Amino acid sequence: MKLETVDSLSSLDRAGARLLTWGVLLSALCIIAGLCVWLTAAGDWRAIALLNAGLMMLMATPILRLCVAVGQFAQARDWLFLLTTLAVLAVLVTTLILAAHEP
Amino acid sequence: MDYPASIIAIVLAAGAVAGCLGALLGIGGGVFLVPLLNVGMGLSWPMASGVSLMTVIATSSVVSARPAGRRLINLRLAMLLQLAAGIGALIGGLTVKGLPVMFLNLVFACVTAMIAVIMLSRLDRRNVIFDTSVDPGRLGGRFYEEESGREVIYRTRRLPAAVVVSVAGGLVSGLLGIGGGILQVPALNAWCGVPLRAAAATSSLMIGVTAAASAPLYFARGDVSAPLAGAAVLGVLVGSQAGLWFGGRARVKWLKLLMAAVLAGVSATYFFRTL
Repeated sequence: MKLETVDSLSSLDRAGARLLTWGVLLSALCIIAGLCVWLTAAGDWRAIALLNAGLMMLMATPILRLCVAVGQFAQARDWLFLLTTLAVLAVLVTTLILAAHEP
Repeated sequence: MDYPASIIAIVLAAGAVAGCLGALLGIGGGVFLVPLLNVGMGLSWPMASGVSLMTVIATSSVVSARPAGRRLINLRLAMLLQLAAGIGALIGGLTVKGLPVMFLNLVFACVTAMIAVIMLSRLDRRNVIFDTSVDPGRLGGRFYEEESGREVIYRTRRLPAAVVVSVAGGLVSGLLGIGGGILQVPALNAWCGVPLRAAAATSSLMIGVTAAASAPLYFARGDVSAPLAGAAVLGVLVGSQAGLWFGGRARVKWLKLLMAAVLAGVSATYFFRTL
């Protein structure tokens, strides 16, 4: 069972990679469209909306990847690292909440 | 604010360079991009950081998605150190605000210079174990290494050192606006027995999460210029592909030299900022 340590996490790994690929691809399409509009009409609200949508998708992607990691550890029945990943998510949410309330 | 096409083109090119080096070394392009946008283009520090954070997320996602990077990621090590870095960043944000930035810059300059020297002293030392019957352990890993054309194994040693460096990385990342990768990758490689490529890939995954924790703030405060960030991100998408391509082919010794050179450059930049 030497391979278990590394390979038991790989079945959902592809799903995680697909998520990252699509996240980047969709956000890139929005950004390209937004930049094209911007270069023809700088400051246009449609350009800003498209660019912001792309950037928001980009920011959400790594957080969603963490959720896939939770699934990977659940599938591997690795409860210690499942808890670790949940703790990472909890710290991340705490940071965001604290920062949002900063004056 | 109105940015002409020429400015957007320059930012796109800068993003490409940052993405290439970031993907190659797993450190995120922030350490190059923030000084460039700040000193070179006159953007305010928060605005430069806002653009930089977006490029770090893009680099991270591209590297972690591509098979070349994905197979090298050590997910358990990543989550453990991510937790340490997250707690470090939280502590940094809550308590050390009073520390003068000048002092932090000086400490950071010294630490990066020290790591550069350690990196150079270990150019010919390898962490990989060629005997594939060795048990990599829970925090170890195995991957196919093109340089030697075989499957290799590594074990993670001195975990407490990696945890301490991650907490420190989290502390400075919030205060200096850079990712912790610049400290983590060399530390994992020099002290904890993780091969440089695996350390870089594992760090790549982590810096995306770290950046995603602070980018929304910059975004909400209006410090992320949408056209500049968009252009830099597009640059990263091209540059990081190039970085991955080089990373798969370059010799590890060459990568270590590059890492040491980057560390020396960063050290000099932060040293001169204290003067």
